[in-house]
Amino acid sequence: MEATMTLEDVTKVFGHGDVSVRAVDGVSLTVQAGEVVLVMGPSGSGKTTLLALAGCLLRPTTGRVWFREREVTTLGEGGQAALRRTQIGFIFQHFNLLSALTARENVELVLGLTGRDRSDARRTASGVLGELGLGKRLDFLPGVLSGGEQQRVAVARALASDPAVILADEPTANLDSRSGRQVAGLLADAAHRLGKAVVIVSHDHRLTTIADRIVWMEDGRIVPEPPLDGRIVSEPLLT
Amino acid sequence: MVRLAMKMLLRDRIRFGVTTLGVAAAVVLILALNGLFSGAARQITSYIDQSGADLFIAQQGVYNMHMATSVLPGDLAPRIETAPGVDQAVPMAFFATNIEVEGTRHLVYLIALPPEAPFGGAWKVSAGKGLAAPGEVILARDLADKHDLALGSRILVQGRSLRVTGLAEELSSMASSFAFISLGDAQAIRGSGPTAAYYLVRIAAGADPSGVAESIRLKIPEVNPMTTAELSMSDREIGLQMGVDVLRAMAVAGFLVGLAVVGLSVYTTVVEQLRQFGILKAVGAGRGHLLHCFLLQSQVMALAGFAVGVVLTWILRLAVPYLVLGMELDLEPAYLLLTLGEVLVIGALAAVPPWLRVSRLDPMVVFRS
Repeated sequence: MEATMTLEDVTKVFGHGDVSVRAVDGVSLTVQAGEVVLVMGPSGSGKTTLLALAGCLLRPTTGRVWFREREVTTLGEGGQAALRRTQIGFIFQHFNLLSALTARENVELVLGLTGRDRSDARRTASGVLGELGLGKRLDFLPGVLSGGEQQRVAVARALASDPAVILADEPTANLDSRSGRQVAGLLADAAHRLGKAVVIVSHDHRLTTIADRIVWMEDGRIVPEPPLDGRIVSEPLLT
Repeated sequence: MVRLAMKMLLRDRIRFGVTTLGVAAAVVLILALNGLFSGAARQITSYIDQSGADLFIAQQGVYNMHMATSVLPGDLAPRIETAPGVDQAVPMAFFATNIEVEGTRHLVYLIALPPEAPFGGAWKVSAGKGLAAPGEVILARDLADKHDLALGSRILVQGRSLRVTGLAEELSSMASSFAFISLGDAQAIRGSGPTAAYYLVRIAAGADPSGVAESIRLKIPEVNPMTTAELSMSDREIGLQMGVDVLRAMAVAGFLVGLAVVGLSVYTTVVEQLRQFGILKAVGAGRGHLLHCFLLQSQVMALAGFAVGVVLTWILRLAVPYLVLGMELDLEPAYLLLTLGEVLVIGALAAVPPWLRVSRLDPMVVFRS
């Protein structure tokens, strides 16, 4: 299979000197088209930072990120923005829809950024939302949609411009179990039917059922297997 | 992006309304000040423009009426009339003085003409006559109304009692007004003997004013003949120059107020919705898209303020003559365009700080709750 996205020995350090934090530490990861990679790990393990690095929202302190055969870490701000709007679809835990725009306008906006004309963008947005069961919610503002509906709008926004990569940050965290299953199914479909490379960062073990590969992170590094099945070893407060 | 910019902008309608009013206030400040000075400058030259003369002859070296003193012999008319192209020449005295009405003093520009002058008198007479005989005065209608003066009333001009025999419109300006008396009375009041300040000249039909002025200059070298248009422009420029520094200061103040109002409003809109702009960045909006968004917002605010400001200034223009005696406010298309340009610059500059703020926005904001 084709490697869609590759992170090569990527490190991200926040801050300087004594107060610096190594959020991601020498991570290498390849994601292929049609594959769902689930990144799991405890809070603070660097999962979200890894996702931001993969999505060109952050620049690594060291290491390189490749999109197909092109290194994207060297791209300027404009080049990275262009890559995000054409090749990367984001799905966030808090949906992150633009609250002033309707469901359809949220999807149209992304298409508009890629230069699609308005009528074409409108048609495409309506089509994608309709496929996700939101045909009757096109002109609703996010504030009046349920959490599950909002996340489906976010999925539609991520898929609308036909990107090669979908990056999802805790996509089911704020959803009830039914909506969570629905969104998980959509992400699996995006990878397995539409051939997208899907990276999901999550604590939600239900998502393991759709994952082709699970990557575990702890302290900014990829670790080979789940640490202690989530159990915490007690340590004495005083030594 | 247009729809997003507009929806974000109009989301808080109260803020949009307040911003619009703020910009409108700045626009009114700029337009009204200029309009008042322009109106005043036009009023300054109203006599020159309406006198019916084609040429004004002044003492050599005198190029305006309001900021210079011209003294000419009182018997120059026959010599002027011998110049080719001249039809008639009328001597005229012109000076500023105070008139006393019911114990209140008013600054007036007295225009003194022979009682039989064929032109040069009040041009819009509303009662009585437009040219004064000895012992008479023609007053501005609004000044007379303010003091309940009517035809037959008497006023004091430098201690000389004159009877009101005419009332006319368009004689008042912001700080003064015109009044007409006879040339003989003027010479007596001033003790100047048989002199005139200017000569008003009518040229023969079909003659060229500039050519006639030149022929007079050649014939009588000690005078300065000017066409009515030349003298009017000269006096108007002096009037505007007197207010130009104030105008500039007010225009700069208005500009800064407008800039601060629009800039602050766009900036607070952005700060309140930082997360939304973070989302925009995350989904691929570049710096150009963001600048486009802020420019749209700030230009819409600036233009809305301009439109409201123009309407308010228009209303003010209608109200000013009733609020302040003799004052007029001109709304000149050229100055409107200039102010529009200024407002567009305000809109463009106001977009820069929010753009810089969002450009520096940490994109990780989209991952936070």
